[in-house]
Amino acid sequence: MSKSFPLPKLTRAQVFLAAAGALVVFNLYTLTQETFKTVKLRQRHPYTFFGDRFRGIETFVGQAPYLGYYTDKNIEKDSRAAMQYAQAQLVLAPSILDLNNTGHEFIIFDCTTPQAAMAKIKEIGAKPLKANPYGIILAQNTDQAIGVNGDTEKTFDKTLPEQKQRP
Amino acid sequence: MIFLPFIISGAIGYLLLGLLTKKTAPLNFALKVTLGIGLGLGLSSHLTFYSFLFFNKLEPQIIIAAHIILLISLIALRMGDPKAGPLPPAACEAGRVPQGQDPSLFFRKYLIPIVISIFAVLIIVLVIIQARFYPYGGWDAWQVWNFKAKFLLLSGDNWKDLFSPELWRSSPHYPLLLPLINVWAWLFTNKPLDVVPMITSVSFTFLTIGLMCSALWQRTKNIFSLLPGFLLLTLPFFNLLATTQYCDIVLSFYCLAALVTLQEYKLVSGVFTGCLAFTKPEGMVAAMIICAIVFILTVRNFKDLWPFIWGLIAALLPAVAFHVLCSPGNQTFVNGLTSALKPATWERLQMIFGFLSVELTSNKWNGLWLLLLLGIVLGGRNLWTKNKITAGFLVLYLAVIIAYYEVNTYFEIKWWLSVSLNRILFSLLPLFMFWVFSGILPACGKERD
Repeated sequence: MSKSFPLPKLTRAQVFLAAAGALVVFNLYTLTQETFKTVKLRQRHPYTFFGDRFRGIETFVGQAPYLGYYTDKNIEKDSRAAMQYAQAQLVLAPSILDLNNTGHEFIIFDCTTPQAAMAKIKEIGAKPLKANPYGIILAQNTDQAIGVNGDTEKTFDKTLPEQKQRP
Repeated sequence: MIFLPFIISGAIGYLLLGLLTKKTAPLNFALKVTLGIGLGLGLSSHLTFYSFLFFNKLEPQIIIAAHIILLISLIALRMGDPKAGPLPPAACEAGRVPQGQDPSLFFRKYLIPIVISIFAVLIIVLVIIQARFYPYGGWDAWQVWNFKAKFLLLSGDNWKDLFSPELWRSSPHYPLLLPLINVWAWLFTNKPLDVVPMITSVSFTFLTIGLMCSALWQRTKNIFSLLPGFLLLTLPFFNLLATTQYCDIVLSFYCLAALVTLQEYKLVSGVFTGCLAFTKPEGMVAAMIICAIVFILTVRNFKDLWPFIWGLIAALLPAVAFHVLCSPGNQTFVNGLTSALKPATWERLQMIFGFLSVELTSNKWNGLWLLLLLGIVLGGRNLWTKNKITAGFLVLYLAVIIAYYEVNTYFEIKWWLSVSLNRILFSLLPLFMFWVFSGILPACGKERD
């Protein structure tokens, strides 16, 4: 009644290679899909590198081997804050960003609000030097400033957040 | 100008490899090229490191001069060798698809290479597009590898500050092979261009795949040696990890290089093992396992050990100097066997094995590990007898990694496994593929169930 079809006898290697070939086709499909998906995503949301927010600071701090990096964010739990710190470290290398150590001559403030940063700057008696639209503020410890960076007054950014709020 | 340092390193490595394998069986051309470029890049990294060691800072002129002198010397040696032509006849022979009087000559000679080339170009383009999605790489790229490279390039006399405790997040105990390759390449651009680490990672991706396929070809002479390369390069997750500018792909390359050359080219294998030890702490572990395997293999014939040892000594010096003179030691280690506060527990071990099984079957691998499992089943005894060195290495390495996860209780295990296990598996993947395919491919067309 039933006619048996002559099935080809496959070696173990042929079975394996057929499976591998099928996986290549599937992989290629997923790779193409993923690539197009990411291209579209990038068109809507261009790649953001948080380290870019710290570019230009090196022109103020020169070759300072250490910079303080103060943040009121929990860097252990807030991955975005940790990422920003890590990327800042890359951008500002070879200066070493000493986390939450305000004892260095220059300190970068990356706080939840500019007001929080300014409050901390006042608290430690530092002098704000530069702020940017991302809320990053560079300050200088006044007790260490004398004779080190005489032209800091010239570089003071008049658009500091605290000054904007003054009546 | 960006590619010039890579070309110089590649040329040095290719010529040097020719010198090191002069008295051994010929390597096929693709294998010689991939091994040569990897050897050259490793050597460039070592020369750059010696600049820091001997002059206590980066000396670009001296490093470039050393490379040029080395290149000229190798060219002179090659030209002086009457046997050395542009391509050794034996190597041509080894790299040729067997043709004979086959009526399907056209199919073999033209059609297959054309189809494969088109496919390869398409995949290469896709990989480069993927790499460009993340121009600064992944997290460890900016926190560890690229940061170290930039620091070494710009820090002058203060380069040892790289090992200061404030930088514990950048793992100061990690060796410097990858950062120093980038430093070497930046010497020609005079500034740390972001594109260079991307070029390095893409180069090592193709080198690793090229090495895997050409080593398989060297062993099996089977056209399907290309298949594992296509399998990996079409896997999105593999591409993602390969182009994140991490050191895992570099480790993968040197580990594969050290093992595929171990049987016939012991001197070269020793050199690659030395380079491997300078990649990452896992690389040092892998290098120690390879040394142990070599000692076991040559215990009856100690004379065979010497070429490996000479190669190893020459290439291991930077890794040893780094660990003795620079590395502050692992600051993220708690011995769970002795710690009462963070003990190594049975639950931790269960979590490791549980996570491993979840990871291996995860969708992101597109079933690749299951395919390899199928290959292990189908390959049978071949895998464990014909290729016992690779098998032994993989078993030992995985055992050490699992033991380390268990013993080092510094990190919360779930988080640690989630960020690192996939990268460890990724770095082993080309070697796994080589092992399984080299066990399966020789049986192609001969064995019947």
